Amino acid sequence: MTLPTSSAGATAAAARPLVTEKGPRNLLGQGLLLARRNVRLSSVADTVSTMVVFPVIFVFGFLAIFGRLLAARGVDYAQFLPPAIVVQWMFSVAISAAFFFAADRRTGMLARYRAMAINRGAVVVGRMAADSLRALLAIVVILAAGHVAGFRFQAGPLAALAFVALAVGFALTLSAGTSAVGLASRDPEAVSSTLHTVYLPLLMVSSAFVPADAFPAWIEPFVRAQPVTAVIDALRALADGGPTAGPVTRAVLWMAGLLALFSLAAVRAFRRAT
Amino acid sequence: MHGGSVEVDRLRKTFGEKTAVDEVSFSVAPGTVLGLLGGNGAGKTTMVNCLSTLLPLDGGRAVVAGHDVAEDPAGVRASIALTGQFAAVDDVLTGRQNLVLFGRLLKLGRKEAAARAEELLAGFGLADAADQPVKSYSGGMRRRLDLAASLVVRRPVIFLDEPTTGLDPVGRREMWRIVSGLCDDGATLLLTTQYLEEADRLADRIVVLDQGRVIAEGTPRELKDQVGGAVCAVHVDVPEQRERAVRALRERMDGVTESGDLITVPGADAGTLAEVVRVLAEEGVEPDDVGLRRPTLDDVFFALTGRREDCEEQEGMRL
Ligand SMILES: Nc1ncnc2c1ncn2[C@@H]1O[C@H](COP(=O)(O)OP(=O)(O)OP(=O)(O)O)[C@@H](O)[C@H]1O
Ligand SMILES: [Mg+2]
Repeated sequence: MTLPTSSAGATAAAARPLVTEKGPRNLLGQGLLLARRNVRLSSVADTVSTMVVFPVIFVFGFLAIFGRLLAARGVDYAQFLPPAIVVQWMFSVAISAAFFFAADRRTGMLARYRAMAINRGAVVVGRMAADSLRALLAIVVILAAGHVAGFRFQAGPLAALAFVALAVGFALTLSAGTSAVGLASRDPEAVSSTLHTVYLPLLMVSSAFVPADAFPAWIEPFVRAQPVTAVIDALRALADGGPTAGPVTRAVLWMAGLLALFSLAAVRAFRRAT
Repeated sequence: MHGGSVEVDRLRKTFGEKTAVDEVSFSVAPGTVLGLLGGNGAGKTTMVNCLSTLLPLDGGRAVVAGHDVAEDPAGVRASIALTGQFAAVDDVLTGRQNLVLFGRLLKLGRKEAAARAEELLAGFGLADAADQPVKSYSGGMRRRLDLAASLVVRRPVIFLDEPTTGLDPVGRREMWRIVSGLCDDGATLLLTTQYLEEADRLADRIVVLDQGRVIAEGTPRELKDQVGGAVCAVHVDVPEQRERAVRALRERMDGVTESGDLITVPGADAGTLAEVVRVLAEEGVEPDDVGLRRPTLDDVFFALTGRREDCEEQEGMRL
């Protein structure tokens, strides 16, 4: 057998002099290649069901269950619900990021990338870009379903854009945190179920599905104070019109704080992950 | 392309209380093959991970192709190809897509990456399966693709962590041929293995690791000389017959050892061989194979540690 390493042709190109891995061009170029790979890895069937079918079911399901109940309290549920489903799906995007990181550790792909001469941040950029894409897809689907149900942006296109940006920002903030968990494990299923047990109660005990004042008095202060509520309230403010500065500032501050904390944890986990 | 050298000086790596690599030193001359030989948990993977910048060192120094792993990790990465212990390729992508992606990541142009993928697929016997998803590949094909993936861009130093573990005899031979080809090409190779026969066959020099320490180093020949001359080897497949044979041989001769279905009697010559055959006949044992044998590295390992490697080893030795 003639080994491919000893033949001419493309090998000559492959034997090029060593090139450094540093610099923003590498970060971006290699990051986008990995983003493409990450997108290709999430199977079509899974993407369609988790990013398209489930959110639509949630929008119409919750609307059918709670719509009339909350109408009695003077809440327009078709307007109230979609931001909550968006936040729910940003969690889902973040959890899948952790799942993929743990899977890449289990298969050894992460180690392979890290031993290659590619930019140190490329794996992270690749993950973030793929997550953003998933987040955007989910937002578009949920808003479309919401539109059918009667949801409308009432404060103009700029507020609508801010809504999308805030939601994607929230997904990436959460991804930083979940990635720290995913990178510490080689068991994607375990990571996913652990994160679900953290996120589900947080979402339930927030203003996502019912207004904060509908909670029992002893837990209401927590509902009002916690970050998920802050983000949902900011999204609602951007969708419904009225004063936005207060809620949006609160959400952004929460996100900035969490992002700082989560990034530290994620970078630490990334350094240790082989 | 010329191979680069690897210099390891009192390298230490600990995980909490556990010292996985303990003051290990060795060097690999450019263009030669070093076999890092050891059983499970010997520290082989830890060693390879330290040298390929995946793990920080806890002591000592290592220089790969002129780059210090602690001070210039990027330089090291640009000089090495690493094939890890477990095949790391994307299952849902095809073999070709995997190779093209690695090529693109390492800055080959679109056309170059495609051409290089084509070349590697053909050279590694994967041309027919090139456009099938990797999840449909056999273990041997996966492993070959994995190795091909690390060779997309040629590097002066190649690390192979247990390249044949889990392969059947045919797959192993195929892999040996590929690895020999890499050496002929002038690359410096550091390969780890649990198979003594493999190190014997592929390596110019062997470092034997046991519990993180170097317990022996030398050429395959030097190591073999440490256990002296030929031995007499007896294979008995039936366990109770084997027990009987061992008992009877031990009554009459010194240094009889047993490992798997193999019994060895040291210091053998034609006389001892005749004696062994006579004892077996007396006991009514029907051996599956009796013969004089040059000592293998398994015997070296036994001589150095007093332990036999797993029975799995025997399969390779008898080939
Ligand atoms: N990340 C880790 N944390 C804790 N201990 C570890 C870690 N990695 C390895 N070890 C320990 O270090 C020792 C050496 O492990 P290593 O994986 O290097 O052995 P090996 O020679 O590659 O074994 P094998 O043939 O099974 O692959 C083992 O005792 C192992 O349990
Ligand atoms: Mg190992």
